[in-house]
Amino acid sequence: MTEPIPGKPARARQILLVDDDNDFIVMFKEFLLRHRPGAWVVHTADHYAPALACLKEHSIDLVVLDLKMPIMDGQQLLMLLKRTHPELQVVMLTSCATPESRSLCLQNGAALFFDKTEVADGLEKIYAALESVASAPTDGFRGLLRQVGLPEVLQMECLGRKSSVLEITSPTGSGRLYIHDGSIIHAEIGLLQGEGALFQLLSLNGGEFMLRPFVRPSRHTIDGHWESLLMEAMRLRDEASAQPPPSAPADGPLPPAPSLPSASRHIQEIVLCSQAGELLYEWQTAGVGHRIHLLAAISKYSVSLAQSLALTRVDRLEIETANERVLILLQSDRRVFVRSSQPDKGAR
Amino acid sequence: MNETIQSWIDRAAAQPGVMACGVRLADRTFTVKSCRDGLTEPQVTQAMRELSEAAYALQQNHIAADRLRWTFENSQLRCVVGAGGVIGALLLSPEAADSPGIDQLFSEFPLAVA
Repeated sequence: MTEPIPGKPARARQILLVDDDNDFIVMFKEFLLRHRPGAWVVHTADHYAPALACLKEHSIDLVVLDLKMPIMDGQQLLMLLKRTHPELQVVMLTSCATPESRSLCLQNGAALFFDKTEVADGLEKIYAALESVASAPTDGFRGLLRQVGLPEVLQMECLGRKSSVLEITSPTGSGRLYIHDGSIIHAEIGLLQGEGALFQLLSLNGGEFMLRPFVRPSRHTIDGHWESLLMEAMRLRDEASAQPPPSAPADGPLPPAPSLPSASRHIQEIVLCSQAGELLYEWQTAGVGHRIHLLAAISKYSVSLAQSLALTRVDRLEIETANERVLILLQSDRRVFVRSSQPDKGAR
Repeated sequence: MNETIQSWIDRAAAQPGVMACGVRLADRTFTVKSCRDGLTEPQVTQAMRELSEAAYALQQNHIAADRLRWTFENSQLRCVVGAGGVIGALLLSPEAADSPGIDQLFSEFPLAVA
């Protein structure tokens, strides 16, 4: 449901209120419309499905999410939005706030977290905060690597055939990735450039990134297909995580770039779903429903195996077939299925 | 019991880092061995049963697995899958999971005999 404000100025911001409490929605919407006429276009949704439909139809600046909702709760919807619309500002507003839920929401990318009881005390205070959040710069977006993974941001840029510069800052290094028309064309970190720099940037744990408008780099150092590059980066990161940490001094030269594979993999399909089986993302998957059922079945078998063998948490299942590799990641909040071709099989 | 299978099980159990090993035969029977205190052979047999069900579920989804590797927090379960539902599996410590000896064991798994 959408209610434009009569006589609104051109720069009116679009806000989406998602809450299954209709009384609250009505009260808050009326307040927004009355407080500064023309400042907001207010959209409302009582659960995740109309909210996602609204995001498709409108250029929303700010989403205000209730925490407790049916089917997909606010926490899950927040994580979904941070994947599908990483530039979107999300504010949580709930009547069942706990220190844990507050911390989790902020950790997962919420810009602000309010208790609805604070609304009763003074809507003006919240209004000012919402305006501030909605006024954040829009010529790029900023995020923490723990909220949205760098590979996911890269994937979104490449799938969307976009052109941009991704600036990454972390305690262990800072660099840039140049994406042009959906292809990664250059990467640099310190003195390192090219694929080695790309792999090193993708191996960073923690830090911040800023997505900026595209400017042409001084050199064009990367030609590989982005899917193969990302897949290889994931493999190298997995291998690196199994190695002891390097003993080089903190201010010493950068470690050498990892060696490149003799042949590359090509991703055939990707499915990402929540623990509850809600589809979060898919790419080139013919039978999404079958894949989600398979992920649920593998998750169930993983739990059974862990119980039978007195093991702790399962992390992943890797499957090799005659010419493909399937990677199933089983995380606490999501399940991932990636199928890729395996042209260089034979080493194992 | 098939001597070739028993020999493979014995060699597997002697490898450092192997916590348990098992084989599911084409006739749907199991041969297992536990090398870890507190892990019983009925538990390993149950795990082999679940592994074969998981491999079947993959097959139903048109994923004909040759090799499987389940990574748990402190161990790995590596399996080789053959025709007729034959499976050889090793429960391994993380250090042993990629050792040459383990790769050699899998390459020698008697899929045809099982």
